Amino acid sequence: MNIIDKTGDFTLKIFDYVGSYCIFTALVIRTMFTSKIKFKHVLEQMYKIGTKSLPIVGVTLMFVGMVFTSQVAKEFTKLGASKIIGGIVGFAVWRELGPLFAGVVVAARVGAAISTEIGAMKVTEQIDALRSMAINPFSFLYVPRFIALILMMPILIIFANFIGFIAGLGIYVALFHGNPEAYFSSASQMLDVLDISAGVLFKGPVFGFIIATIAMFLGVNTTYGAVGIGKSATRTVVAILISIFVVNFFLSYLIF
Amino acid sequence: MSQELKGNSKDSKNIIIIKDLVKTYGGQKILAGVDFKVKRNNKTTIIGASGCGKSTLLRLILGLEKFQEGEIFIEGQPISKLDEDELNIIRLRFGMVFQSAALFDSLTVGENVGLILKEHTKLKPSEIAKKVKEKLDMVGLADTYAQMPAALSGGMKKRVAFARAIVNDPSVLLFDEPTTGLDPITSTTIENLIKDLTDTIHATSIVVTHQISTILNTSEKIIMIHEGKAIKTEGPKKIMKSKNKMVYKFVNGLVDTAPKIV
Repeated sequence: MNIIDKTGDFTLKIFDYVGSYCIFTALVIRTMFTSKIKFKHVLEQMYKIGTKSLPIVGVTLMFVGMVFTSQVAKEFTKLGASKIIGGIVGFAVWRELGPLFAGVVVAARVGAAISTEIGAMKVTEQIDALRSMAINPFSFLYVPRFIALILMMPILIIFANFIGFIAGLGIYVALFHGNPEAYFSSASQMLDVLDISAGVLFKGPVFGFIIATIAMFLGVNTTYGAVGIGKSATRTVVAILISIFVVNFFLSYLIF
Repeated sequence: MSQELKGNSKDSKNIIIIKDLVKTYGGQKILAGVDFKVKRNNKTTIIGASGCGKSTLLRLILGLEKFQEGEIFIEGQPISKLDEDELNIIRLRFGMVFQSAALFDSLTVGENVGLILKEHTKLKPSEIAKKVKEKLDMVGLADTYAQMPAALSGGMKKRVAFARAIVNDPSVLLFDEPTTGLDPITSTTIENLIKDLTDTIHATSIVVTHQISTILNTSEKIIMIHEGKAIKTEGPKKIMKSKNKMVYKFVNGLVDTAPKIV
């Protein structure tokens, strides 16, 4: 096989993979509108995906908020601009750090879990068992996870933003003896409605969509037993992280 | 071709008719024109070397995979012409026991067995629980109702899978390697269950296996898949002395029926 053949083969494989992903995603969306989805299944997933992610999202954003504020406060105090630290932290957390880090944490925790669970179900014939019982895996397995992620990501981002911002306040007050009133007042002056809502309303559902569809698609395409399940989980986290970073850039560019 | 196939579908004695079935994977023919019929209420066993396409055949019968040529008629209906919803109606007449048992890890034994009733009937939870317990009792596992599958042994998982397969009283039972990997005593228990359960619910059974004891204990008719084709064999009483060279060598474990290792 020469280099041209190899390039052609590789290109075809990429198109095949992307095409399959698009078809899978289209089927998930179609099933959401054409089949009966049990609300109980969606609630179960919302609890697993959302509620159980709150602690890790909280801890992550607490430290992100703390480290960001400590660095910003150090430099801004030197420049005599300590009064606007609240606004700067607010900008960073609500626009970028909260949504992005919440997405990264959920990708690692939930994306890998979904991919592993569905991959294991695939290689142990559980998905075939569902189909053999005339149960549609799309309405039973995939759509509840898809809906749950799209609904829970904005909630997780609100929580992440709040924790990140408050952790910043803690550091501002404790290490730099800042005034809490100045922190809140600069934030309220500098942030507008779009800054506060865009991360939640636009980035949240988009990140949820990316995490759900990539994790389920790579899970359902798992082959070769336990090794395959591990590979799928790794691929899932890598693919979701890259997608989230790229999409986040374009969303931020377009929105702000 | 299609008219010829249609002509064969009007056969009330046979619940399943497989005609000229071809299945390929990546250009390689696994099944290369398989033909056979399964009579109603008959116990058919499909034998053959590992990788010859036996399990694939079961998956094709259930419509879990597509075939390239030929046709499978279930109760006279050509399944290649059916959409997923129509296939689902047919699937509800089948009960399948997978090689790995394929129990859902996140559900209890009771929920596993009752899932099909929960999803496809309007029975109350108490009625479902009663039916599930009845079927678990038939496989000797009534006390496992609230347990998780992970707490069960391989043989117990298979028996739960049996209970799940018969919970809606299907007319056809499919068993994929039901005794593979089990000790001789558990295998005999499973073989007895296959016979008893099939008789109790008046079902037709198709067992895919390469275990001699299963072949001898659960069959009325035996078909061997060899080089992608179906070979008719003698019944369980005479198969060990089969006049067909391939069948004789396979059931007696003579090496040249094994797939070639290149």
